[in-house]
Amino acid sequence: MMTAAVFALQAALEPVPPPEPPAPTPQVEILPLRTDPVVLDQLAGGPAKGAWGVSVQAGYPWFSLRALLGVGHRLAPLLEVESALGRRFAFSAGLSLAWVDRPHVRLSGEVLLGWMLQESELSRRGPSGELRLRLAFPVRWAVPYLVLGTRHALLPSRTQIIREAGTETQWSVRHEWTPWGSVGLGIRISQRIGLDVAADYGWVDAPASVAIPGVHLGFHFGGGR
Amino acid sequence: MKRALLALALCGCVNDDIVLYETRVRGTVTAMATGTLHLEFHHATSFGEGPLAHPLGQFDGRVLPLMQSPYSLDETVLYPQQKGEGLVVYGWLDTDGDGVLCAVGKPAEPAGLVRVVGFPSHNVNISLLLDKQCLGSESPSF
Repeated sequence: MMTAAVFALQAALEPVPPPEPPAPTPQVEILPLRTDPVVLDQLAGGPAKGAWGVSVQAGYPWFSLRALLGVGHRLAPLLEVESALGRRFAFSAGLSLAWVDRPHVRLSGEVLLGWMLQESELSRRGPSGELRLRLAFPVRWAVPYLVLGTRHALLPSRTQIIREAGTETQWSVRHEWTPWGSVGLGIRISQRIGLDVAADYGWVDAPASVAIPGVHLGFHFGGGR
Repeated sequence: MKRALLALALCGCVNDDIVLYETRVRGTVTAMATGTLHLEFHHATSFGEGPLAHPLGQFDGRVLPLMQSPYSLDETVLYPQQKGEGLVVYGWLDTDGDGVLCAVGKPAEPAGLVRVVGFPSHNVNISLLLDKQCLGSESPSF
């Protein structure tokens, strides 16, 4: 009994060892994910999920308004309105998909369906569709890009023949082909704002017609990035 | 049903809406010679109205051998209704076979013009007399 009391007293009199310093808290540095500037997404297609953008491209003779929204897997539905000198209009909806997405190369394909309307001396109207390739090589603030497309429109016509026995109606459809090419330079001002300037060559009703090249200046803005 | 669906689908998207009026032109062509008959079917007036209307406007033609006179004519033409009014038939006889009306240095060739009375009708009768030398369809002498 006495021994136990001595040990207890000795333990009470011993200096308390200093507490061990607390273990260092793990430091987590939050790095932003690589996001693409809107000018790249708009010019090269295939934005990331949640990224959206709107482009306004105005020039001679083409004007266009284009909106994309990334839904994942570099797939994006898009809406597009295009006009030539306020006389020819095309309203299209489609999909954009990036096939190659590397830091300095992006290649995407687009498919669009819509309606074409031309009101002038040569009025034309009918369903239209387009297949388009977009290729861009982003380097720092610059986005050189190339667009190649093949557009097709179906132009239905009606002929009524009034015979003695009655009226006969015949339908015919003419195909209008418009190959398209643009080459230009996009400029990243910020992640959400950009510009571009490009030369366009849209050969409407090829090869039966003659087309002159055009030029445009574009403004791009967006969010979700 | 298919036609109705097609018409519905294309409603409001017609590019060219052409109306053709089928007319059977029968009658005789009389000339004092034989050769190749060049027939032209014209609108009486096209483009414009009243005194500003443009006279004539060919919409169809035929080239027929005329080996005997009078020649019995029986041709069916499709008349574009939106392009003008009235029907005129003009003809000239190529007697030397050069395809040219009264070429320089060649003999005179007969021509004639008739304004079809009673048109529009699906059946019209004409009597075309080729008795004017070297006149084109636009000649005021007709």
